Formats: sequence, structure tokens, C-alpha cells
Amino acid sequence: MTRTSAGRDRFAQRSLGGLHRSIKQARCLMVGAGGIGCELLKNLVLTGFGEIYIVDLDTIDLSNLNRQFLFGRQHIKKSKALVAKETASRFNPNAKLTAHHANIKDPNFNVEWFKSFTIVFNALDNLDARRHVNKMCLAADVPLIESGTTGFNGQVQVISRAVTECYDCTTKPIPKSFPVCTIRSTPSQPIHCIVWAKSYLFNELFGASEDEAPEFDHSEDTENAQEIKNLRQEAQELKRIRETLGQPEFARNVFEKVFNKDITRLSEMKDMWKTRKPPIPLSFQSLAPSTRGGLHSSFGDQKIWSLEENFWVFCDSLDRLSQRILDLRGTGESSLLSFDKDDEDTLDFVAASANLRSQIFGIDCQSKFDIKQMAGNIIPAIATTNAITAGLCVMQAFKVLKQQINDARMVFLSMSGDRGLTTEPLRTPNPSCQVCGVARLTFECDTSKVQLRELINVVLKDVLEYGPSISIIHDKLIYDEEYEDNLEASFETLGIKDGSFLTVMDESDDDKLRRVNLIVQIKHRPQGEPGQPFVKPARFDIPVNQAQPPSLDSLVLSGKDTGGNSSAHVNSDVEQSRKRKADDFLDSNQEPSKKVKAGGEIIIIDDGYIEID
Amino acid sequence: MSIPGAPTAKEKKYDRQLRLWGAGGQEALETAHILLINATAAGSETLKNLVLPGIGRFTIIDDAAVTDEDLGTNFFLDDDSIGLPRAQKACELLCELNPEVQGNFINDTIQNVLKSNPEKLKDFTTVIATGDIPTATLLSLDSILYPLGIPLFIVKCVGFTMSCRLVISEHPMVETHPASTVDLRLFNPFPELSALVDEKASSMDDKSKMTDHQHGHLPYVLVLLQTLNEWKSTHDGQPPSNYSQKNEFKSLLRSKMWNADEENFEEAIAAVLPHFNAPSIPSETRAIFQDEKCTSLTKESTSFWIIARAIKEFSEKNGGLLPLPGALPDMKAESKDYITLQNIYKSKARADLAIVVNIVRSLLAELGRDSEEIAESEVETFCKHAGYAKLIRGRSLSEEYEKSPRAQAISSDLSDSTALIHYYLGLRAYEAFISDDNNTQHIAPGAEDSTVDADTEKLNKHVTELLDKLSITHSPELLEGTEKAIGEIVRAGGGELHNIASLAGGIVAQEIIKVITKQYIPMNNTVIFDGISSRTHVYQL
Repeated sequence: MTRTSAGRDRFAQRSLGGLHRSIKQARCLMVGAGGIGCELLKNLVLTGFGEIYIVDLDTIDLSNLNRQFLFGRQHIKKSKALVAKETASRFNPNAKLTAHHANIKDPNFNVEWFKSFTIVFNALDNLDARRHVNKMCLAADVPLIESGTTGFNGQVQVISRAVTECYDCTTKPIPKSFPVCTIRSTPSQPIHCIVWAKSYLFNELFGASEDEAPEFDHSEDTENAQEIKNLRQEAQELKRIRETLGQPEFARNVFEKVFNKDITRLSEMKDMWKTRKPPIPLSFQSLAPSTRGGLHSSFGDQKIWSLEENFWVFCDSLDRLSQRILDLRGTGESSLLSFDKDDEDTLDFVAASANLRSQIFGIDCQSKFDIKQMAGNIIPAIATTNAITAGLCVMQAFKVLKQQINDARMVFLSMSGDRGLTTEPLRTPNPSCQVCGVARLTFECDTSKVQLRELINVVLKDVLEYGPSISIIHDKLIYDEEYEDNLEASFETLGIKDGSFLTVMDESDDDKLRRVNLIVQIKHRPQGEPGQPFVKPARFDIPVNQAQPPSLDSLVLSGKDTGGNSSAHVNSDVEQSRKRKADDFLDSNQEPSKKVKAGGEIIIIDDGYIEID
Repeated sequence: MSIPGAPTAKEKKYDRQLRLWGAGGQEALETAHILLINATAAGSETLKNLVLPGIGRFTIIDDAAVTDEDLGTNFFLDDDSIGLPRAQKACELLCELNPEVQGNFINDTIQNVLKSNPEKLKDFTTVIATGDIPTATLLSLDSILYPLGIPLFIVKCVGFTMSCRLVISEHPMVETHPASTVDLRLFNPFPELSALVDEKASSMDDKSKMTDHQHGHLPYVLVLLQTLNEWKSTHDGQPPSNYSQKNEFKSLLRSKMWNADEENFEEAIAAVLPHFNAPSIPSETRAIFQDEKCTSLTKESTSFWIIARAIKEFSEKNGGLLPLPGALPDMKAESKDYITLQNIYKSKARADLAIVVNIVRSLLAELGRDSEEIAESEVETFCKHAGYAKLIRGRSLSEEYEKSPRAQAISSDLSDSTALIHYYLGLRAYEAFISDDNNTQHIAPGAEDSTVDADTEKLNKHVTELLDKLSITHSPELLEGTEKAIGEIVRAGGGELHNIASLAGGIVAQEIIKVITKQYIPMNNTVIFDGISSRTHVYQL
């Protein structure tokens, strides 16, 4: 059927007036095609946006279908970006859609590529990618509409370089990590046992054990040197047991090792149990007769299992996982498994192991449903919040396209009964922000050859006339006056490559001279110039920072204070705390970085690190 | 063989929402049958957000045929739908979203259904009315549904504006999901708690009896109770009652610290303001206790009212205290002390629950009903939320429009030209316009370019008539905001914008979910949203 688009667009043209044309001509990028993404794509297509690029590296899972309506059961395991494009294009044949099943951090999505867009929408589920897109949009000077939801709460923020705050102008909550000894020797909360099961036991038996999990905090290791040594030995023994995988006595070997032998050793360390109840080992022998026959064939997800039920699930899931490893070995592919909250075998194993350990230490057992939430950092997600949030994103995009950014607002939604939405004016950039600091420089160099020393001496000190008190950050601190370990290192060995950003902070004591942060964008240029592996930039003026320097109290580094120390130098005098926190979240892509809180409260409800839309 | 504890595919699909409203809420959704009157974009988006989380059934009543304009705003209609019944096509595409949901449609007007078979409305658990429905029809719906206790959501979505009016007669909620249900009983500790304070904290100030480690790990609840004992002995047995006394108390706590980094003392100091409150029954709970449905139970009383009555009787016998919820916040402490303390609160909560359960059983017996018909788990949920339960007594549409309009709520915001009440007035005028006897086709204002000015004039006139009827004084200055709102409404020509309709669908569906699950507190009773400023406001009209 052929039809003019006049009827279709009639109402949009009427209500949007002149804006309708800018919308049709806009070229937008949507990063993330999950919960918010599905809604947003539908809204963009039906509002008449002319050209939309979609990037998402994720595939579709059954648990997405309660809200991600562009997907159906037939799409499970397929690319979100590609399926979203396919479904949405049916609803407006005039829209030009392009989808990439890829990671937005891939090098081909470079600053030049970002510059080609009129506007960018973040519909992401993790901090790392959000911060990356923020950085790219700042570098490309493209406005960004940032959004997030968790349960009934959501928020939308407009980010425009040098006009508004950027995503990193305010501190984001830093994920929690636990001292190794708490996890391995002295757990006192269910989460400790869950982390043990997921990040230690599971990996030692089925995963890549040398990849140690980021939720382990080693800052207290030196205080507990002897215990750390014992724990290493225990891990070695477990590795030997791993070699018996597939043999009939495997389950028994593992059980006896981690729930009996190791526990018996621990309980004998009298000093450790002076003020705590010592753990009580479990016996395979006494639990074994209670297997299968005596149990109901189905016990619920939300019910707390008995000791026997945990034992049964432990043995059964261990069998299932072992079989998978054996099958994988047969195919010649990597025979490693990783924990996935939606993978029933891995979740059963972690739930049962965590509960058996809780039992040993007198900690309350948890239902599988709750363990899934804690182990998988599950953020509740529903269609309604996503619909509202995506709608608000488009409203804010209208303001940006109309060049009325001053009318744009930060919008929050909450479930409360007396108000639905609250708005506040956009804030101006935080002058001390390490990411959007207003001075920028592109540094062309051969990243395999150029040394940090050359950047500091030739570019920063000679050309730009920085004093001695500077610090340089690349995800974490790589240089300051007292930390010169990396001077001779090449960019490559420091992980600095084409497209990387460095932040140079002026730390001079004189308020009148201290300059704003300088963002150095690295552009790789093989061979550099004759005689030197880089191109010497021209001099330019960097404005003085008008803001008060941040007080030390407001600096946060991985939950600990820092006065500009390297994050590699860990603080060893943090007290081992028995503090219980219901909201202990773990994160696998933690990037320690000190950040400054802009005056007032933290305004980002960060919706976590996995699974928000 | 099925694996124990393996969630069903359905549980997996709904996993992310079960974490918000639990199995009970999900069951309520799955037994719901929702009626949507008119498959407008906002109506279809609302249904989408209900079909995805898995309502049981829906029915669409609509006699329109799909037009070109529909395709530009309604995602649930496609090219192949043109000219076909909108109710049918929307139903088909919505059903594709979730095979578990059953969809029906009636290709007719709501007016005809009301005429021929008004009993039909009894089939539904919730009704959504969208699109251009004249006032008389809305009032008929109101007069049938309100007495039946079937919630009605009236949704208007025009241009950048939307409103949602919740019409519900009575809505009791137990699980309101407060941020915390902690009650530490600091001002009236029960004997087991006092005994623990004596055992663990009485020598808190004696360095010869406690190590630094023990002192720094004394749970803050015990620190507070021990310090309160000391305070009371010098204050006629009274706890700190006002702000300055509370500050004095904080200084006292600070003076008891052995070194500056005792986190447990910091926690104790932080707990003074939020937790030092004289025990009282919150006004929302008191309103439930005083409600006639609570004071005079009948054979037909729902479990909510029977449990409420039992808790009322419990509190009367317990010095005005509600059953203890039993939750204990996280705190710095040795594990075993924390567990001991937790068990003391838990046991007390269980003991209180047992008493309430007994009262429930005997109330049921007195009413001649099965004394076991209310499950203990339901009583337990109520006991945990006794201080947070809430009852909404709503207002019918006929009360708002005719019997007892709330002129005050309207007039008080009128002088603020940015207040959203102007959009309310604009939308009431819109409704009056399409309800006009001479407008038999219910043509929207501004639908034709040629009549924009005349229609604007008519809407302004409807507003002044409405204000006159409500005896609200007005002037052109006061109505500046209204005039602007009317300008926007007429400009839209009765059309929806997809983005606003989608947003409206999110807001409305969220409120419907709150009402169906009886969890969280719905916005009572009129939400107005303005897309231009991205604001909402809730009026009680």
C-alpha cells in the first residue's frame, strides 16, 4: 500500500511546529537497546526522527520479555540491537535505522564517529559504558541525554559540554568489596557466603581460578599474613581436587574439602574465635543417606531450603556442571564456566554452597530467589518506569534540538503517592571534574614509543608551562609529584592507546594560578615526528580554576580517603569491620578513581552495574 | 526429572518485577480483567504496560476504524490495519506481546454497551476510559462502577498534556513499601530487651570491665538504651522530649566514647533524631481503626478489616502499642551479639503476632465464620506493616462534578499561572466541548484549522462557566495560565503525540498496578502531566 506520510505525521506536525523539521533531519545514536532502549526507539521512530543508530552488545534473555517489548520468545539469544531495529522499522517505513551488535567501546566508534550525530541517547545498564559515552560525547561536543531506572525510580539528565554538568561531575556510589579474610575465614552475613560460593568456590572448580574476583579487597592482607598463606594452600589443594572432576567421588571430595577439612582447620585457630562463634564442620557421611529419595521433587524458589535440601542441590548441581565441563572438553573449546545468574546450574550451585557455608557459620540461610538477587546484582525492572523515563528523554531532546538547553531539566521519577516527577534545573559543570574540565588538547604520538616523561617535560612543562605540582589520571592516578614510578613507561604499557583520555590536574597551592583540568585526548600516529615519537603541540592558554579546591573529605577513592596517593598504594589501616549492610553491592568492572562531589547531595541514583535498563 | 527449586519459565520471565511486588502482587495481576474503552495511543500504551507484566485478561471496547493518523501515534496498529476495526487490530498486536494474556474486543461504542448490557461491566476488575468520551457517559460509568468498588481510571491525553483521574470508593493497602519498618522500642523496651541491656551494657563506662574492642562493638541499640536509663534517672524518669534535650543527649553519648572512631557510637548519635519519638499510632493507622468498617464488623467484612480490628484490640490491651514489626537495622557489632539482639526482636514480634492471630480467630468465630479462613501469613504481613497501612477513601466523579466539587483545591492554585490546575481546567473545557449537544460527532476543538479561533473562544467560555458554577471568582489575569493551556490543547486538535501518549501509558499503568496489587500508594485522585515542563501535580478533586 502506498500512502503519503502526511496523515501519519499530521498531529506531530501540528503540535511540534518548526521542531518537526529538526527532528526529521536529526541523526541520533541510541546506546543500549534494553528496557529504556526499546521504549526510546519506539518513541523516536513514531516521533519522526529521521536517522537512528542503535548499538548494543547484549543478546536477548527470557527475563527481558516482561518489559523489552520489541522482543519475543523466538528472539532469545539473538542480538538486541538487530532485533530491535527489525521490529521497530515495521512501524515507520520512513525512519532510517542502523544497528550494530557491538560494544560501544570498540575503537571504530571513535570521536570522529560520535561527531557525526546531532544527539546521543544513553539507555545503558552499567556505569562503565555510561562513563565512556559521556567522555566521547564531551570530546565530540555532541549533546547527550543520559537516563537510568531502578524499580519504580528513574532519572533523565541532559549533558552538554561546558554548559551543563557531565555524568562524572558528581560522585557515583562505589561498589562494595570485602576483605579476603571476611570472605574466606570469618563470614558473618549471607552476602559473605554468597561471594565465597560465587567468586571463590565456583571459580576454583569450574572457572578461571587465576582471575581473582574484583570483590576481594586485599588491603588487609599484610595484617593477616599467616592466614592468607593458609588460604593459598587451601586453594592449591582445591585445584588438585578439581583434577578429579568427572570421577564418581568428585562431589564427596569437594564437600569434604570445603565444608569439613577447611572448616575444621579454621575452627582450630582459637585466636580467631575468641569473640566469635567457631564454625561447625558438616559431614558428608551423615548427610549422604538423606539424598533424593527422602525429598519432595520440587521445592520452591522463594522457600528457604533445609540442610538436606541444600546438600541435595549441591551434589546435583555439581554433577550437572561437571558434565558440562566434560562435554566442553570433548568439543575442544574452552572448558571453563562462568557464573551467570540466569544459568540455572550455576545459580543452584552457588545457592546451595552459600547456604551450606551459612549453616556452618550460624548465619541465616537465604532462598534461591534472594541469593539470585544478591549474587547477580539484580535490579528490579518494569515496563512502566521505562516508558515514563524514555518519554522524558524525548521531551528533553526536544529542548536540545530547539537550542533551548536552558529550559531542559534534570527529571526524577519516584513511586511516591503524592508526586510523580520532580525536576530541577541543570547544574553548571563542576570546575574540578576530571572528565569535563574545559581545557582540551589532542596529543598525537606513537603510543608504543612515547614515554610519560616526554608528555610531562616537553608538552606540559615546556609548552604549556605547568609547574611541578601536577597529577595525571588515566582511570587511576599514573603520575604526581610523589609518584614517579611510571615516568619511563611507554603509553602502551600504561594501557594508553588511540582514543584514550588523560586528565591533567593542576595541584599548585596558589589559588590564583591553579588552572582547570586539562583533558588530553591521545591520537596514535605511528612513528610520530622525525627524531621524536610525538607531535609537539602549539601553546595555548588554560584558564585559571575559579572554584575552591575540593576539601580532602570530599575526595573518595574506592571507599577510602586519599590525598592524591596512588590507588596502587593501598591503605592498610582500615579497620576490619563487622558492619552489616543490606545494600552491599559487588561489581566486576570497578574503576577506582577519585571523584569530587559537587556541593550538596549526590543526585544520581545509580541504578547499579548490571541489569538496569 | 525436574530439578528442585527450578523456577518455571514464567517465574524467570517475571523475575525482575517479582522483586517489586512479590508473588502476591503477581497473582493479583494475573487474576485481573481490564477493560480499555477506546484503543487510543495512550490507552494502547497503558495496556501494553499491563500485558507485559502479565495481567490475566483484557477487553477493548471501541467502534472506530483504524486511520492514517492512528498509525503515526499508535505503535499497536500497522499499515495492514487501515480501515479495519481498531479494537480488533489493537487487541491482536497487544496479544503478541505476551502469550499468557488473553485479549478480547468489542467492536462497538461504550454508549451502546451501557445501553444494551450494563451488567457487562461487572466482568471487569479495572476500567480505563480514554479518548473523547462525553461527560454523560463518564458519569454513567461512575454510577455503575463506584458502588461496585471497581476502580475507574479516566485518562485524557491531548497534545503535550495528560490527566488521569482515579475513581475508587475504598482502597485499603497493607504493603505500602515504606523505606523502613524498624521500631526499636527505645522508649518502651520490653522485658527481654531491658534484660539484655543490663547484661551487656550496664558496665559500658567501666574500663576495668570492658575491653576497647568490646566497647567499640556494643550494638548501638544497647548503647542508646543504657544511656537512656542514665538520662531518665536524672530527668524524673522522662526521655529527652524536645530538640534541645535530644542534642544534649547526643552530647552525653559523645562523652561516653572511648576513642574518636567508635562507629557504634556514631550510629547511636545518628539514631537519636529518627528514633527518639514518643510511641503513638500513626494517623493513617488511627483512621483505619476509627473507620466504621473496623468498629462494626459484619459477616461480609474482608480480611483487611478483620485483621485491622484485631490489631486495634491488640493495641488497646498493650498500652497503645502496635505489634512489633521485628526488623532490626544493620549495625556495627560482633556477629553473635547482633544475632542475639535480632532474635530478641524477632521473638517479641512472633509473640505479638500469636496474640493478634488469636484475636483474628475469635473475631471470625464470633461472626459465625470459619475461624481459620484467614491465613497466619496474611496476619503477619499486616502486623509488620501495622504502622504503615493506609486507607484511601476516594471520591466519585459525580461528587467532583456535581454533588460536592472542591472549589478550594482549584481556586487556591489559580493565581499561579504556571500551576497545572490550568491544564485541568483546559481539559474540563475540552470535555465540555465534545459533550456539547450540538457536537453529536464529538469533534475535538481545533480539529479543523478553520475553527481554531472559534473553538478557543468556546473553551474559554466553558472554563468561565465552570468557575461560575463553582463560585470561584476569576479575572482575565487569573486565567492567563488557563488561556495558555487552552491554546496548547486546541493546537493539538484532539490529536495525541506518540511520545506523550507513551509517557501517559507508563504513568497510568503504574497507578493501575499499584491499585490491582494493593501495594505502594497510588496518586489520589487526579494527576496532571505537562510534557513541556516535564512536571506532574496531584490534586484531590
